[in-house]
Amino acid sequence: MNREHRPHAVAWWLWSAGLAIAALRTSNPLLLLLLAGVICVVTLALADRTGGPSPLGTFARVAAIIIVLRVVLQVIFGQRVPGHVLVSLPSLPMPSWAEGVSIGGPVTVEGLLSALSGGLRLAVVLLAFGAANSLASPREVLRSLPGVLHEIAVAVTVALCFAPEVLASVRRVRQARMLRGRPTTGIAGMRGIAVPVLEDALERSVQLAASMGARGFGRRPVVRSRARDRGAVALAIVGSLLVLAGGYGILAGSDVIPGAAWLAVLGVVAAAGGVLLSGRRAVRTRYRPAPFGWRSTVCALSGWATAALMAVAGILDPASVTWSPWPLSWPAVTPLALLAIVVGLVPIPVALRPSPRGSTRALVEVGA
Amino acid sequence: MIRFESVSFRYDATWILRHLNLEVAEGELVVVVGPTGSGKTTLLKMIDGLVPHFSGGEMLGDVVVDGRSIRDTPPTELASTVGYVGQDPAATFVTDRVEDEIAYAMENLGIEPSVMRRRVEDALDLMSLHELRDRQLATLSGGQRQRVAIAAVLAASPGILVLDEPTSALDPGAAEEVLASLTRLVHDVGLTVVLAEHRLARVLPFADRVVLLDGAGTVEVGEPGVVMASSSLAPPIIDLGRLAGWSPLPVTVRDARRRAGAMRAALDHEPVPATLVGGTEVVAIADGLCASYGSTLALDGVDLEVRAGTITAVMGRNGSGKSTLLGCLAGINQPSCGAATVQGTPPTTLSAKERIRRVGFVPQDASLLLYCQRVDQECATADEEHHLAPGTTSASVARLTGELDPARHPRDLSEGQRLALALGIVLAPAPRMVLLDEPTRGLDYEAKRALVAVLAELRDEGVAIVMATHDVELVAQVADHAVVLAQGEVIAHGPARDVVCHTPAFAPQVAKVLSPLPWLTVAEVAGALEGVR
Amino acid sequence: MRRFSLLILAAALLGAVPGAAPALAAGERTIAVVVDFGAGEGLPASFTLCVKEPSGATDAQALADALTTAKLRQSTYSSSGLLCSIAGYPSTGCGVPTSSGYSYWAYFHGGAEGWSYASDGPAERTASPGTAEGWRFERDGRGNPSDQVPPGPSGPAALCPSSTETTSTTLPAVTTTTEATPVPISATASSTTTSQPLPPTSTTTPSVVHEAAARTAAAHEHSSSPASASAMVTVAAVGLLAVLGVVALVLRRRSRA
Repeated sequence: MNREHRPHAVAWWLWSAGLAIAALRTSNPLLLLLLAGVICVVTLALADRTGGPSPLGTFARVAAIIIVLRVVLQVIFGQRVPGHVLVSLPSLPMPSWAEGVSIGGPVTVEGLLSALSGGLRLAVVLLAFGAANSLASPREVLRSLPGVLHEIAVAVTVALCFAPEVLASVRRVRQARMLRGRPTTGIAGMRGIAVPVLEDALERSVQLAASMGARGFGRRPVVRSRARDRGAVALAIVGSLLVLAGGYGILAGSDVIPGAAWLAVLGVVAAAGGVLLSGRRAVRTRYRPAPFGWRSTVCALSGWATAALMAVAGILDPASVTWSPWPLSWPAVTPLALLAIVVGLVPIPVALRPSPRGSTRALVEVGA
Repeated sequence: MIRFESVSFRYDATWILRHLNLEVAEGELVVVVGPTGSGKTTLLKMIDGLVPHFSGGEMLGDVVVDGRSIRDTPPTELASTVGYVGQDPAATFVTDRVEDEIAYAMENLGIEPSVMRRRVEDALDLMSLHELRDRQLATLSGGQRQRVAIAAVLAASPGILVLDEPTSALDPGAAEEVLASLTRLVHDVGLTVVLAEHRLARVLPFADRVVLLDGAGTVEVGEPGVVMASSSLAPPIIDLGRLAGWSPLPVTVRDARRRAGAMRAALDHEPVPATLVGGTEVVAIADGLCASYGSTLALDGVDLEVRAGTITAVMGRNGSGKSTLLGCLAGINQPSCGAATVQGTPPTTLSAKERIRRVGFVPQDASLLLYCQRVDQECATADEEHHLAPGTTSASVARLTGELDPARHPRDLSEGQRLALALGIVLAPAPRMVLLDEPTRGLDYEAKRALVAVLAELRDEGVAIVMATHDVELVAQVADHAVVLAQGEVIAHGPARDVVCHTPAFAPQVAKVLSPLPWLTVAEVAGALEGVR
Repeated sequence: MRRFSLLILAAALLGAVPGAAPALAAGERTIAVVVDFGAGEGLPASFTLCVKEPSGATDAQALADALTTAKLRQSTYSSSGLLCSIAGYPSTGCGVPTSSGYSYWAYFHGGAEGWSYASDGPAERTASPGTAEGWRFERDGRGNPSDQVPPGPSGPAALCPSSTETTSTTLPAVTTTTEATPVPISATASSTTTSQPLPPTSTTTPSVVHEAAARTAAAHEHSSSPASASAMVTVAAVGLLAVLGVVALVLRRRSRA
C-alpha cells in the first residue's frame, strides 16, 4: 500500500539544497529574486502547517536583516568601489598600518547595487534553508539517516530541541528579572540572564540523558562485534566529512580543495561502505519509515535540476548568470536560466493535494 | 516484582533512606507519600536504577526488580521491564511528534516493526491519544504531555510503571484523566504502578497501599486508611474522617459520603460562614482584557475587579489563560485590547521601580526570582534595588518562614522555603497587590498550611491577592472570590464558595462529601459542629 | 583574435589620427593605462591606451574610459572594491586562491623610476597628471609587491609621448598578430568557462578578450533579432517574478486566515 501522502522529508531537503546551490551559482539579482519567489511559493503552498507557525517567516526576517546589514556595511566601508557617486560621506583618515581599511568616503550607485545583489544571494540561500525547515522538520530527516549514524542523529536531534527550550528559558528569566525591576539589557542584564539559563539548560540535559537511558538508548545486543561496529561508524563518519569537504570544494569553484569532485566520490563510497557494513546487523528497528516514492523522487530531482541547469547556463555563457553593476545595466535573463527557475516549481503540481483541509481529515481517518 | 532489601541511601552526610524493606507485588498500585526532601524521588529512581547509576551517592542494601539486581543492571537494560516518567515530562521528550515519541523506546529495543505498530496503537488507545497522534509535542497541554510520556513508556510494555508526581502540574480534570488511565492499566493489564505525589486528595482513592516516608529515614507501609490515620500529611477527607471519628478512615469520596449522613443532618441548619466582601478600595481592574501569543488568543475580553483585602482565585484548565491574566496585571504581558490598570494606571506604563511598589508577582517557578549565591545576599540586593532600609527584606522573609540560614544557597532550600524567600522579597516594598502563579506546586501539606496562614495574614493587612491555581483545596481554604477561565474567557465569577460548589471539577473533597451543603473545609465543619454541641 | 586586435588597432588609429582628438581642456590631464593579461610570450596579451581625464577623476575612471575607447567590456568590482575582471576576463571569480598562490588583477602605479605595487584601490586615487596606471593579471601570484610588474616602460612620458594631445599607442605584440586565423566565437566560448587559471602556455587569453570584445561589438552594432529575443526572455522573467509575488501573498493571506 502506498502511504506516500506527501514527499519524504529528505526529498524536501534535497530540493532546498538544489535551490540553494542554484543561488550560489548566480549573481544575477533578477534570477535570485525569482529563486526567492519559487522558494516562498512552494513553501507557502506545500508546508505542513499542523505544527504551528512556519519557520519560513523567521528566516525571511533574518534574510532581510542580512541584506540591510550588507548595504549598511557597504556605505560605511565602501570607499574603494568606483562608480557614480550618490553621496559623499566624510571620510575617516586611517593610519598607515590600517591602509587596507577605509571608512566613509563616496557612496556609489554601483557599490550599493553590488552589495544588494551580494546580500540577496546570501538571503536566498538562507531562505532555502528556511524552506527546508518549514517543509519538513530536520528531525524527520535525521530519523531517515542510516542506523549507523544513529548516535550522531540523536545528538543533533537533542541539540535541535535544545535551542527553542533555551529561548523559552531566556524569556522566563527575563520576565522574572523585570518583576524585580532588574536590568534585562546591557552587560549586567546579560550576565544575570545567562547564569540561570545555563543552569536550567544543564539540569535539562541531565534529565534528558536519564530519560534516554531509561528508555533503552545505547542498548547493546547480545552478540555483536564491537570492533566491526566501530569501524562501520568511523567509515560512515569519515565518508560524510569527505562528502562535505568535496561539496564545499565544488561549490567554492576554485582550487581551495584539490580534486574536490574525487573527494566527494570517495566520501560517498566510504559512507555507503559504512552503512552496508553495519546495516546487516541492525539492532534498532524503525517505526513506520516514510516511503521515498515517485513524488519524493520528482521533488528532489526538481531542485537538483534547477541547480544543474543553472550550472550549465553558467558554463555555456558565464555572462548569462553573472551580473555586475559595471557598467550599470538591467540584468538580462537567458532562456536556459529561466527554465532552471521554472523547473524548481515542479513540486507544486506533484505534491499539492486538492484541499489541504479535507485531505488532512482523510489522513486521520486512514490512520485511525 | 520489586523488592527493596534493607536499602539505605545518602548523597551527603545525612541518610535519606534507612534500612528500607519493601515488597511490591505484581498488579499493585503503590503511592509513596512524604514531605519534601524525604527521599520519594530517590526511592522511585532506584526502581529504574537511575539512582545510583545516574546520580552518584552511597547506597547500601539492594533492590531486586523482576529478579535482577539494579546494582548490576544499568537503566538501559531495565528499559523493557521498568517504565519511568519523571516530574517534568516535557524535559524527557527525545523526539518532536507524539507517535514518534511513543515508538522511541521500542525502536531502541529493536522490536519488530509490525509488533511496534500494534503496540503504538494500543498505547494510543490506553491513553486516549488518538486525536493527537500527529501533533507536535511542543503544542500539547500539560495533561496531554503527561499522557504522552506515560504512553511512551507503556508502549515498550514494561511490567512496572514508575511515576514521579504525575498530576502536580495538571488541572483537576486532566489529573482525573491520567489517574483513570492508570487505574485501567492496573485492572486490565496487571501493571505494577509505583507513584509519588503531594496531592494526596487526588491519588489516595486509587492506592492499594501507601508507603509513608517521614523524612528521618523511617518508613511505614500499609493500607491507605490505616497508614493515614497517624500521618500528619493527610488530605481533607482523612481529616474529616478523624473529626467524625470514623474507623477505618474512608479514602474515597464515595465511602465518606455513605457515612456522612449524620454529619450532613447536623450541619443542615447551621449558618454557612459569610463571604468576605473586602475593602471598598479597588486595587486593580481588568476591562475587556485580551492578550495573544502570535495567532492564539490567550485572553478574550476578561473583566475583573480586585479589591483590597480579598483573595481572588483564578482557576481553569491548563492553557486557559490564567498565567497570562496575571502577567497582564503585573505588567509583563502587553494587552492586545482592553486595559489592565493597577491603582488607576496601566502597569506596563509604569517604571520598574514604581511597578514593584504597586504589584508583586511570584511566577510559577519561584526560584527564577532568586539569583544570588546566598540567602543574605539575596535579601541585601533586594533592599538595595527597592531602595529600602537595610534589613527590611530579611525581616519580611523571616515573618513568612522564620529565620533562614543566611549562608545557604537559594537552590538548596526546600520548595516551601524558596517560595517564602521569593514571596518575602516581593512583599518587602509593601505592594498593594500580590499575584501568585501556582503557589502550591511541589509544596507538601506542611508548607501549604504555612502558605495559607501567610495569605490570610496578608489579606487582613489589606493586601489584594490574586492567585492562579489548580489546587482546589487551597481555594477552599483561603479564597474569597473565584474566577474560572476557559479559552481566555471568564465562564464563572463570584464568591469562591458558590463557584467551587457549582463546578464539579473544582469542588474540594469536603464539599463533595457534604454536597449539597456548601461547606468547603474541615476547619469550617469543625467550627460549626462545635456550635451544635 | 583577429577582430580583437583589429579593434585595438582601430582604437589606436582613431586616437592617433592628428586632430581627431581635441586638445586638452583646462584642468585635464593625460593618464597612461596599461593592461596586461599576463598570457606570456608572443601573444597580444597587453595594451596601452592614453586617456585624458578631467581633474578630480579617479584612476578607476581612467581605466573605464580606456576600456570604452577600446570598445571592451567594463571592468567589474566586488562590493569591497576589489577589481574582479577587466574586459570580461576572467569570466568568473574575484581574487581566487589557487593551489600555490592567488589569481587576481594586480594594480601598479607607474613613474619614471618604474612600477610600484599599489596598496590602494583605483577608486581611491585621484588621477594626477602624467602618471601611468598598470594592471597585470597574476595567474599564480602572491598577492603582495613581489608579484610581477606589467611589461614595457612605466614612465608616462615613454607611453604617451605628447602630453599636449591625446594619443594612443599599442604595444608591438598587439600589432604583430593581426593576421592570425579567424576563430569562430562559438568554438572559443567553451574555453572561457572554467574559473581555473590558464596554463602558462595557453593561447586562450586573447580569445577570451576576443570573445568579450566581439560581444561588446555585437551589442554596439545593435544586431536587432537576438537583442529583442533576449529582452523578451527578461520581460518574461520579470512577469514570472510578479506572478510568484502575487501567489505568495495570496497563499500567505490564506494560511493566516
